[in-house]
Amino acid sequence: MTVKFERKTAQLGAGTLDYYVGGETGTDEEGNARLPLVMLHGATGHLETEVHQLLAEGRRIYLPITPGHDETPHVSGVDSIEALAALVAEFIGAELGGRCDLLGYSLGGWQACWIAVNHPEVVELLVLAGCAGFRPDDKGGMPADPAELLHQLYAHPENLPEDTRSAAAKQANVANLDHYNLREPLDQPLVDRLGDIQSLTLILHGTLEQIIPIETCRILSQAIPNQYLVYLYDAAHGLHVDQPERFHEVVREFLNRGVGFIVNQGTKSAAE
Amino acid sequence: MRFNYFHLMPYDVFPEKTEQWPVDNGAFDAETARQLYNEYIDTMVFAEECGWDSIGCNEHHFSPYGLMSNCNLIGSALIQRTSRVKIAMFGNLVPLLNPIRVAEEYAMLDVISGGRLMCGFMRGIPHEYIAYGIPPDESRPRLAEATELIRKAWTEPAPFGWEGEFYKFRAVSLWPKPMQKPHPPILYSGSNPDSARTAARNRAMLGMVFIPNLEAGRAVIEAYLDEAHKCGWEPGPEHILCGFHTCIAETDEAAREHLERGVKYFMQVLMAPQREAQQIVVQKSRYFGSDGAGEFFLHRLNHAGSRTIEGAIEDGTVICGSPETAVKQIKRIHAELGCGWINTNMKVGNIPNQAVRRGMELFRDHVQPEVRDLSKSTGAMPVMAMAGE
Repeated sequence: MTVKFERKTAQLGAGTLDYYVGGETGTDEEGNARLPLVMLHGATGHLETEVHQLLAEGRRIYLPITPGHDETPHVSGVDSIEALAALVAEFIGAELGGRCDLLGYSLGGWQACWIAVNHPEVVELLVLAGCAGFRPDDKGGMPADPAELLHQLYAHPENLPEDTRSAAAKQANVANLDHYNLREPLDQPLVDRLGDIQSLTLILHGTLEQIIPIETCRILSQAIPNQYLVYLYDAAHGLHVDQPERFHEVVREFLNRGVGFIVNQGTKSAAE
Repeated sequence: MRFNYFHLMPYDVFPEKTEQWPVDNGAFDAETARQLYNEYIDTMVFAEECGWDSIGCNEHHFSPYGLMSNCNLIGSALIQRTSRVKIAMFGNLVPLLNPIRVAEEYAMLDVISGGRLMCGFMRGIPHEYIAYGIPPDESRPRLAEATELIRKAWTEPAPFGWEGEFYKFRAVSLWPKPMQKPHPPILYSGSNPDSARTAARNRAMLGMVFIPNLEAGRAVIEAYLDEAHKCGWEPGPEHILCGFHTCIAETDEAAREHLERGVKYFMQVLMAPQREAQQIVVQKSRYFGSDGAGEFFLHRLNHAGSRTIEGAIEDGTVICGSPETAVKQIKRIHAELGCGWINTNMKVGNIPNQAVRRGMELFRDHVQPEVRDLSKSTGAMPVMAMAGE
């Protein structure tokens, strides 16, 4: 069944935050309600893909839109990645009951790290996919040429859903990075604090990734105390688009079973 | 020019002609096999003394064609009894195996040998897929994914997981990692242009055997070189290994006699059972792509036995003769193919082991000194790191 993601606006102390929400809250093996999943988008903005539908089976998903992206207004005083993280943390507190599992893709991963560092009380499990903000020596980065950018974003662009956004709107999303000063390849203050992350963390990296260098994985895996690094085979930067089923399988198992996701449970019939 | 001493380790006393595969093992005698293993290992160790640069073997299943279901076990024995030669595992049939296990065993061999390992990443011949219950259609994508995974396992500095099409591992961290950095040289088999291009894309050495003639071999090598150039690297002669049945004796006549008898046994007894199984796999699966490679394979399979030794010598597809003749043949191969490695298979079929050893002595004393300096650019071992390794 197709999950319909509804667009809403949250009224927060600092201002408003637009978001999409969809999926029904499911329960874990012990009958407890699953925490909601907050997914933070990348620099090009929110685009609903197959993986959103897959993850929304048995889980409530929230998709905040970075203020200034997708023609949403900026929030006064929110002009840095830390301020952005604080805004989302407030959103989790006000709208989601105070705690969630958090998945950040690319720019969203960078944001998610700051949330986990500065607001650990709102994050249970953390997933960082193609995480931006940790590119030493300016390695990687988005190429200026549009064709090359598309090539580096997706190994399988045929998986992209129809995108009704105009080219200007997508360019405006990328330009919005300047509002938060997000052009720096390496966020050293955040690197210095990665050790404060308390959440069990899953780091995902495509085997064909070029925009985010392998050094990012080294930085994250060496600094975050409790983490797992998993490579998604045959995936570029847009790894959830290139390999939605693999992405979904590893994320779902991580969210459902935590550290137990490393154990192969076999087929359902065998487990029974 | 460098030389690899290759051994199939055949069960060369198998008496019957059978076309059924798997071959009925009722006639298998463990004591005979024990003696063969020891004799073959002694012979391979002797190759170091005779000047070969590497010694190696490969993996086959369910027939007297070869007694190595896991060639790494033989490799481990060879390491203990040699000190200079490279240990050439040409190699593990990677799509049939757990790639993490392959990575681990190869890493162990490399460390135990002090960095002497050369790794074959073989797709295998079609009927082997029946042995381990792996769909032949998946052979190429499995090899591609397993290659990336094994390279990753060898080079990652910390634990990692892998979510792929065929392989899923959530926590991998090899102990030991290979001694050679970033990892040992990798060889892909490539006896047709398509598989040669795959080798180039993977920055692997090219291993070519059973070519119908030198012209066809050259076409395969050119496909390899062209594809490598497109991928941004330039292989040298040291990246190209060409394999030949090799028989050296005191006279041309004696060598031909030995090889003729050995090839007859090889084709009629050792190869016969798997020929039919291979045809079934090729015809009933997409083991080969749609580029004619399957037809080429079947044609080669069905006509291999019909070639005379004289014809093969004329075509340049065997090394056979007196030392003087063998030198000429090797020089011709080098001139026409430009390869930096020759893979010599001297235990062809049931050629007597005594004759094999005599041929090795002749190689040591009269052949190798004359061809050693061909391909002088082969001073360094191939280094074939992928980006990021």
